[in-house]
Amino acid sequence: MTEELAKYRNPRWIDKENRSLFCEILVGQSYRPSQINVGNIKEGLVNKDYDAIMEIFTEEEIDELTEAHKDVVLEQEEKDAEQREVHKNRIMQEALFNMKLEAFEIEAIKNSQNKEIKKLIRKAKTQLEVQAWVTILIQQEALYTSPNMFKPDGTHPELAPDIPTEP
Amino acid sequence: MNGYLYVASRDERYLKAACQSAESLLEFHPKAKITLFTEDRWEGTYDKTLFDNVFSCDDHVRAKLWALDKTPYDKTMYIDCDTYIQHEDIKRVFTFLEDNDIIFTRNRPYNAKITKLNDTEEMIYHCGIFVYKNNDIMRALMSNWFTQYCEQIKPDYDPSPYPDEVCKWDTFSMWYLLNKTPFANTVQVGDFPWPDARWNFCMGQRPEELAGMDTVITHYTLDRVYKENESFQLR
Repeated sequence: MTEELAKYRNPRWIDKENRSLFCEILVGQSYRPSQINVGNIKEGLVNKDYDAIMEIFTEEEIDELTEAHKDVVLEQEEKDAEQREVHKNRIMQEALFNMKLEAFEIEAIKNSQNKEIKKLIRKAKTQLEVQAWVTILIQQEALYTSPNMFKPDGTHPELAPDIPTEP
Repeated sequence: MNGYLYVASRDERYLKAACQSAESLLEFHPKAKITLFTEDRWEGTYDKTLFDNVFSCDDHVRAKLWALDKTPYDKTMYIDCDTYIQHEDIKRVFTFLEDNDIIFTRNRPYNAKITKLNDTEEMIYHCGIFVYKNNDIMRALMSNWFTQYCEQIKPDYDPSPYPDEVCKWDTFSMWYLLNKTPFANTVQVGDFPWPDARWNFCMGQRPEELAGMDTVITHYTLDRVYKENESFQLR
């Protein structure tokens, strides 16, 4: 034998004074969220569902359910805020991390013997810091360690490849 | 002799990540002894000179657990491949073991898929980075870790009263061994010194957890980076 399901559940006030409430109403075999708005009692309007709910639940019970729901909402908001923070941190940390990996893909940096600056790139806490140390290291490599990584006119062979001359 | 251990199996990207991590480790600790367990099929595709020992392992999803009791070191720091060393303090890590058999960093519930098993039980230790001694108890624990994991991924394994989703996590196997078996009374477990976050700073963690100190190890989770960033450099 199946237990008969209650027609209404979890009512809570949206605006008590104007007799507006949220409730889950049984439709077929499932509960659907619903908002019931009757209006201020002075307006004298009636609503069948509202009246039925008030027969099943006392005002105090609905007050309690409303308060309990506020706690649930608050908890959910805190969780959402935490997840947003995790996401924001992750995005920033991954961007920094990817930039460091990219830096070590650059030949001049990969092959550099300047361990101190390489360490500083790995330790960098911001993207700006990575960029700064990468620039310093590449410049140092170009000027002192492997000056032939630049062409005689000062351009970089990879960045400014030779333009084919007229055949 | 103490040393660092990487295990790369199943996917070549883990091997490449392990090499990058080992390279960063050597930059901050040039005398570090490093052992790699990996698959023979990748022989010749990576720089073996980064490692003092390279041992073969199968392409098991948790070759890591299989390899742990085979460490050649007295004290071992196991490091997941998807990591990046960025501080000289990595040299000091073995001094933190003291009387403990193993030390872990803590999971951050806000940044982990699952930590809480129920209202009273929680998987508090992160199993991606840890330091352990090579003694009888630890070899037995590590061997059981592999066995327990293989057991729990069998289709008919019933983890109740814990949720089914725990079965895929080796963190659960370790938690189970340290809480529900005689190892609970024999293994001395400890924590990395505060702030432990700097020893295993996982992407998404709050920077405040570092308490103003420098990160020693960044842990980035390879799958996620690959999925979300096609241009990721570990190709």
